[in-house]
Amino acid sequence: MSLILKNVRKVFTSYSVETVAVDNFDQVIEKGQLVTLLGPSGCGKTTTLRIIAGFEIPTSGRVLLEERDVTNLPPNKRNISMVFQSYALFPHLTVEENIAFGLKLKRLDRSEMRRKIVEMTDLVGLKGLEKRRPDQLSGGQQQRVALARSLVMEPSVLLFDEPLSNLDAKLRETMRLEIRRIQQEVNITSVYVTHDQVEAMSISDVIVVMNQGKVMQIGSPFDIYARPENSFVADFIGRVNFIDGTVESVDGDTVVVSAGATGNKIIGKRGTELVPGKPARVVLRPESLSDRKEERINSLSGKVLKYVFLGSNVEYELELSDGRKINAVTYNPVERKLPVVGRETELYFSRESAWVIRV
Amino acid sequence: MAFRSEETRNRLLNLLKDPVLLLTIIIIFAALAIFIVYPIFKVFSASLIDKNGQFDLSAYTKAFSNRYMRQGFFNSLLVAGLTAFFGMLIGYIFAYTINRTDIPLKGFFRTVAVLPIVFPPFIGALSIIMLFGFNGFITAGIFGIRNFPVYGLWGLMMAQVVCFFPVAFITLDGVIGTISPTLEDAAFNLGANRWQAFRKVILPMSIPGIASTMLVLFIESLADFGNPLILAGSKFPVLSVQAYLQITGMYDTRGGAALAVWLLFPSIVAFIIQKYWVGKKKYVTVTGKPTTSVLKSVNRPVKWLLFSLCMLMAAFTLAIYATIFWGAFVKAWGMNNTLTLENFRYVFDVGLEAIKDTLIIAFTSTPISALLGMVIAFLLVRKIFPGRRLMEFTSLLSFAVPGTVIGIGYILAFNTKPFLLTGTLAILVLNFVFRYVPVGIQSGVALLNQVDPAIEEAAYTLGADNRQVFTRVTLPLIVPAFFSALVFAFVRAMTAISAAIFLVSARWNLITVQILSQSDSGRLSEACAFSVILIAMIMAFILVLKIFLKNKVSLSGSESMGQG
Repeated sequence: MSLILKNVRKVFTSYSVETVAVDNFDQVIEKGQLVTLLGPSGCGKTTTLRIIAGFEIPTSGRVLLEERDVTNLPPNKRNISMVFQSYALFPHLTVEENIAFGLKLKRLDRSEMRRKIVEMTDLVGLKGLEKRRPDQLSGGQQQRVALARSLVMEPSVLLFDEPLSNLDAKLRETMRLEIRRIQQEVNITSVYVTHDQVEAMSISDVIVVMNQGKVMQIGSPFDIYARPENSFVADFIGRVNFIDGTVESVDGDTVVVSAGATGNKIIGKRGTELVPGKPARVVLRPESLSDRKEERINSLSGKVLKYVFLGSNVEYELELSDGRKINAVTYNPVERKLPVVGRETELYFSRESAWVIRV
Repeated sequence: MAFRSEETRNRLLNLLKDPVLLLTIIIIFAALAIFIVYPIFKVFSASLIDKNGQFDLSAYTKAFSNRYMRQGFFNSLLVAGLTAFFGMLIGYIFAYTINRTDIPLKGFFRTVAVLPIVFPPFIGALSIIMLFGFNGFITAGIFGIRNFPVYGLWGLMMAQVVCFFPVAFITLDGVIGTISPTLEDAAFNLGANRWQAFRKVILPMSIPGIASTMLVLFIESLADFGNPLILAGSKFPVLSVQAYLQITGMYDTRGGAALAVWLLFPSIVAFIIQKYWVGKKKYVTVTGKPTTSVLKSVNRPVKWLLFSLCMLMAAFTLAIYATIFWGAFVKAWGMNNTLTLENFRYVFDVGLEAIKDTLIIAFTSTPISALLGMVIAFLLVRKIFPGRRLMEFTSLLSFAVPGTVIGIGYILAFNTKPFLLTGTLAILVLNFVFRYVPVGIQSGVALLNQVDPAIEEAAYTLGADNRQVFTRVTLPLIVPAFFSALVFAFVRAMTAISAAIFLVSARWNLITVQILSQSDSGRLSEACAFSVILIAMIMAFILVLKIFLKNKVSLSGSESMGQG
C-alpha cells in the first residue's frame, strides 16, 4: 500500500462563501499502480492532486504515504514528485541542470549524480540535448525533461497534472504511450490527472471518475466504460443512450425493464440495486446496437432520422415510436450498405450490453 | 485562540515548522516597524506631546496662527497641483505623439523624456537660476532683464515639471501604448472623425492613467525639497523647506514636526487614492496577438504641431542639463565666462570626502535595498501569512511619506538609546534602504505575477525548502526586476536630499548636500561641477551594470516562464 487517502475533504472559503472542492475522497493506491483522476474541469481532481503533493492542506482527512502520515508535511519533505501541465522547467537552467536540481539539493556526490543523469536522459530519450535550455526545446522534449527531473528523485509517488494538454493531438498520443512505458519500466506508483477520457482509458490501471468534488466511481477502464454505476459516469465516458423505464422483475443479475411508452420489454444486466416497480435506466452504448439479430434478445425499432458516414463506421440517429431518439454506430459500412433516411429499421442488442442502473 | 478550521491551524503550524520563513517574516516586520512606522510615529508624538509628557496642541496652534506657515501649506498644495497638471500634460503629449503618430526622431524624444530620471532632482532649479536668474544667461545675458520673477511659484513649478514629467511619461507611455489602434479603426469605421475618436475612445481609456500620474506627481512635488530650497525664496514659503528651517534654523523640533504632519496628510491621502482607488481602475486591452494598424490618429498639421511641442520641451530639457555642464567649466557664471577646470580642482579639494561618503553609502544601501525588495515581493506574492496586507502597506508607505517627514522622524527616533544612530553611516544607509525599497517590491511583484507558480512548486517537490526555492529559482527568475531595483535605488541614493539633509554629519556627508550649500552661497559653478561629477558617476554605474549584464547574466529566462 503505497498511498492512502482517508476521507479527504477540502473546502475553500472566499468572502465567506464555502465551496467544497473535494468531498470525502477515500482511496488506497497500490505500489506500481497508475491511478487516473478523471472528470470535468472544477471537479476537484487537481485539488486532490495538490493535496497529495502538499501544496494544499486538506480541511479534514489524512494522507498516508508508505504508512506515514504526511497530511501536514510540506511538499519538499514528502518524496513526491510532480509533472506539471506547464512543464514548469527552470528557464534559467539547462536540461542537465534541470534534472540535477533535486539531486544537488540532496548533496549527492558528483559521479553518482552523473550516472543518474545519464541513465535518465537515456530512459526518457533526451540524449544529445543535455546542454540546451528549455526555450530551445519542443513541447514534447520539455515534457520529457519534466518527467526525467521528477523520476530521477526516485519518488515514492509520481504525480501528473494534465501533462499532455499543451501538446498537439498527434504528439499527445505518442507521449501518452511513452509515459505509460516509462511508468511501467520503473514501476512507480503514479497519480494522473486528466479531463481527457481517451487518455485516461489508455494509460490507467484504475480510473477515479470525479464530479463536483465527489468520487463517482472507481474502477478499471473496462469497468468504468462497461459497468458504470451511475448516469454521470455512463454519460461522461464515451457516447451513450439512456432508455428510462420501470423495473418489472429482478432475477439474480438479470433485469426486465418495461421501457415506457414504446411498451418494449428490455432484458438487461443488473448494474445496481434495483426494486421491481421502481424506475430504472438502461445504459446502451451506440456500438452495441446491431442491424443483425443473431443471438441478440432485445430489439428496438424506429425511423432513421439522419446518418453521418465516417469511413470506418456510420453513425445514425433513430427516432423511436414514442419520439425518443437513439444513436447507433455500425462498423464496416462498405460490407453493410448505408442506412436509408426515413426508413423503418429494427435494431438488436444483447442482454450483456443493456446495463441497468438506478435512476 | 479559536481557529476557524483545522486548516488554518495547520497553516500556522507549518509556518512554525519552517523557522527560516518564520524568522524572515518576523525580521522584516520588525525592520519595517522600526525604520518606517516608528519614525513617523515619533513625528506625531513630538508634535503632540510637550516636554512634560502632556498632550499639547500648541505646536499646531502656533504654526497655524503664523500667517507665513499657513501660506506655506497652501503654497505647497498649489505648486503640487500645478506641477501634477502640467507634468501630466507634457507627459501625455509626449506619450501620445510617440505612440500615435509617425513623427521622426521618436528615439530621441523617448531618451530625452526618460533621461532626467537619472539626474539629481534639484538640478533643474540650479539651472533655471542660471538661465533666468539675476545673472541668468537668457534673462540678463540675452534680454538684459535683471528682475525676472524666477524665485517663487513659476520658477519652482518649471523646475519641478522638468524633473518630474519623465515619471508621467513612463506611466502614460505604458497606458497609451497598450490601447490597441484597432479601437480607433473601429471608431472611424462607425463614423467618428479623428477628434471624436480621441475624445470618445483614447481619452476616456487613459483617464485612470492620467489620474494615477497626477497623484504620483502631486506626491513627488509635495515631497520635493531641493528645488524649493533653491527657488522658493522667502516670499514663497513651502512646507518641506519651512519644516527643515524650523528645526535647523530655529531649533524648534516640535514646530518642525507639526509642519511635517501637515505635509504628511495630503501625501498619504493622495497615496491611498492612487493605490486603492485609481490603481484598481484599469482598462486592459491585451489581446495576445499584437495588432498592427497604420497610424492615422491625427492629420498632418496636428502631427507637426505635436512634433513642435515635443521638440520645444526636449530643447528646454536639454538646455537645462547643458547649462549645468557648461556652468561647471566657466569661471563665474554670468560674470566671467572664461573656460576653466578650476571648479573641479575646488570640488576635489573640498568635496573629496563627500564624494567618497556618497559612494560608500550608495554601494552599501543599494544591494540591500534591492534584495530586500525581492524578498518582500516573494513573500507578498507567494506566501500566505497573517499580516501580509499590513506588510504590503507599510513597505510601500515610505513612497508616500515625504522625505522631510522621514528625515525629521529619523532624527527624533534614533538620537536616543536603544537606537542611537545619529551621525553614523548606519542611519543614512538604513534610511536609503527603506526609502527606496518600494520600487524593488513593485517591480518584483509585477514580474513574479508573470512567472508560473508551478516553476517554484516544482522546486518544492524536488526537495527544496523556502530558502532554496528563493535563492535558486525565484531570484534567478526575477533577476531583471532585481537589477532595475538596483539601478533605481542607486540613482536615488546618489541623488537623495530631502531626508538625507537631516541625517548628514561632519563625518558622513553627501554630494547633494554639497551642491545645495554651494549654490546657497552663490558658488553656482562649483555646484555645477559637483553635479557633473555626480551625473558622471551615475552614468558610469549604469553603463558598467549594462555591460556586466550582457556578458554575464542571461536574461532570456524571462521569455520562457511557462504560461502564467
